[in-house]
Amino acid sequence: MKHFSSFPKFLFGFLASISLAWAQSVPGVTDTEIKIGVHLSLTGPASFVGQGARIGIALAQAEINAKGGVNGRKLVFNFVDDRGSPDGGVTAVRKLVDEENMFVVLGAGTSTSTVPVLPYFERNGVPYYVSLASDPQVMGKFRRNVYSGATSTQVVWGTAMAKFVNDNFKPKRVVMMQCDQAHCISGVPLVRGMLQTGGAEVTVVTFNSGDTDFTGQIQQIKSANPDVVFIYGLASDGGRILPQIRRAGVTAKIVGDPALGDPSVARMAGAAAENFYTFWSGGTQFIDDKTGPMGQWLTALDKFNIERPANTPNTYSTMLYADVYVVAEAIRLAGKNLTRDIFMTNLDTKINGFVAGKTPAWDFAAAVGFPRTFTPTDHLGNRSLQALVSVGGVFKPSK
Amino acid sequence: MSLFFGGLALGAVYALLAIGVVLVFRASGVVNFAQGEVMMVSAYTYVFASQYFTSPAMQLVCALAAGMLGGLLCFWVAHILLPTSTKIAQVIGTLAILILLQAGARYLYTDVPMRAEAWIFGDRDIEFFGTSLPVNSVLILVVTTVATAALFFWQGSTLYGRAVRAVAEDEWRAALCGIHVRTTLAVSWGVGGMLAGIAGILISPLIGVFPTMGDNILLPAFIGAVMGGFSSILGALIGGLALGLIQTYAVVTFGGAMKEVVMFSVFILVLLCRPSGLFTVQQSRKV
Repeated sequence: MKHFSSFPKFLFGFLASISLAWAQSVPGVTDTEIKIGVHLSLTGPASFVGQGARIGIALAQAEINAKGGVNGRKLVFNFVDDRGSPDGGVTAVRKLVDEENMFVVLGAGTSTSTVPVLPYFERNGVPYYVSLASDPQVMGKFRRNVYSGATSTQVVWGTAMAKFVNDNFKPKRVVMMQCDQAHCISGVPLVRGMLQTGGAEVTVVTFNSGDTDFTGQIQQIKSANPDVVFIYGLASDGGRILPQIRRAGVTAKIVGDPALGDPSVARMAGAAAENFYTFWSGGTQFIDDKTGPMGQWLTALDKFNIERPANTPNTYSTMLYADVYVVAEAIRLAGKNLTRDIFMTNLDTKINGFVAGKTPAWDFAAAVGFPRTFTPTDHLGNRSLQALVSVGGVFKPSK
Repeated sequence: MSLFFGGLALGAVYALLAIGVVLVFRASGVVNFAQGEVMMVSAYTYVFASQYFTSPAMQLVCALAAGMLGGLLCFWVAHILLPTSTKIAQVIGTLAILILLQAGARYLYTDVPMRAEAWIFGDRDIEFFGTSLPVNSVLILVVTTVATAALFFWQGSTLYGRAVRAVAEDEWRAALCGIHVRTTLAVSWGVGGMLAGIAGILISPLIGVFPTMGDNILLPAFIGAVMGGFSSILGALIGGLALGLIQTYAVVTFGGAMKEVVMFSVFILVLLCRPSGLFTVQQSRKV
């Protein structure tokens, strides 16, 4: 009899040990926390991307953890600076996965630091959720463990942007300014082809991201006498280029790729940014709109006392904020038995038009950003793009 | 014509930094790698001064003071903190200042460029030799010319300027003549910093103010200085102006991505053909 009475205790202990060992075997997951790695450019020419992204992540983390975390586990984010460079990206993700055993890695870097790490994730199978990189190579090949959140691909974006330019301006001559960043090198040929299909004669002039003087490029623009100047670069480039173009007397419409859809461009360019067109994938409200969900989001930054460096929050802050909730939702749906496989299956099958703030589980969040949808065969979460125009120093939605 | 003046204006900023570097090198034998960061600090000072003072003179004084303090900081590290060190240690000392100033600015203001309003004349064009040019570009050319002429006058016609030249030629003999070497060196570093301050005021309305702005300007400035011989103020001026023109025309001819390639090709060509620089007079020695 004694044997029989101790058997349930033995069985319970055995199962508890097994489950404990199982729980410990999932990298980055304990009973109390889930570790999420983030690589982002905190230094270098693209540091405004990382600085902004970190704010969005910090706010989502503060909100979620203030409510007790996800299924009782707090979210812990480890940030590693990738310097916006290819080698920096590889070093950062190796540190996050090989040394720090993150459960999932959030890619908040530029295309330059994201594209080189794709083969690494393809080999190890660790979930890699890319928020910002738009290079076609990110989604060009389907990978079971790679997802794209806030941004879309250059093909989707390029189509939307070329359509916007063709429909609204019907240009005969376009000059495209192309920087040396990965998203520019991949994006310009696509948009150029689409604009040419629309009947425009397109000239491409190049510059290096971080350049300070554009006298030579402006001379080329003037020679081409375009109806539209289309700038592909970083926000900091746009802020420098716009005043120099306008000062040189170029009156053509100026359009910028989504990387230029940032408040810092309007701030830096001042009056030269008036009627400057750009795009962003952060939702129907721009970041300086103090009404509705965006107003709630901006208030939350103060409420949770989120540290904001100069010139932030920016475009990338809301993008990452929305994406952290997508990741949190896939974790929540897994319950206590969280594994990487279950997490990815949840993303594939249960994230359908998801926006935090519009679902009961996350009703405390601000409903910013376009809805994200994934399927088992399509990991491109967002296909929407909002056209913006700068009026009076702020960006407003444009039709 | 506008392309030519645009290139000259860019080159004039390179020249201002290059002259500052050459001035310090002639006086102390130390290459000041922090000259670009001194310019950056002056540019930030100019932006903040513009918020408090509407007078261009006050804005200039603040930026020049920041430049001078930056130059004196470099002097303090190179000559007070590391007085008995080798020249290379002193150069590394200026590199340390570069890193500290850049990291400090990045921490305080991030890499997002800060907008700077144009000094004195605002953002408009003027007619210049029959062509329409941004007034700021013309201002850069005029100020650089005036600053270089003032430097020549100071070094050639004033007692203190001659003392600086004497120290540059031979510290030991200058000391024997009663010149206070350390003070004279400090003046050279301070004036070098002030030239960086002028460059900061003039370039910041065109490119914005950001922590690494000095990097982008200092490398071409160094190349301009080396092309000019590295010990000649006139050489640094002409080298800087030439480099601005080369860069601008390289963009039009070969594309923006090839700008650096052309710049370094010309630089290597100059080093191969005339290693002592384009504007250095070959001196013969009796043996």
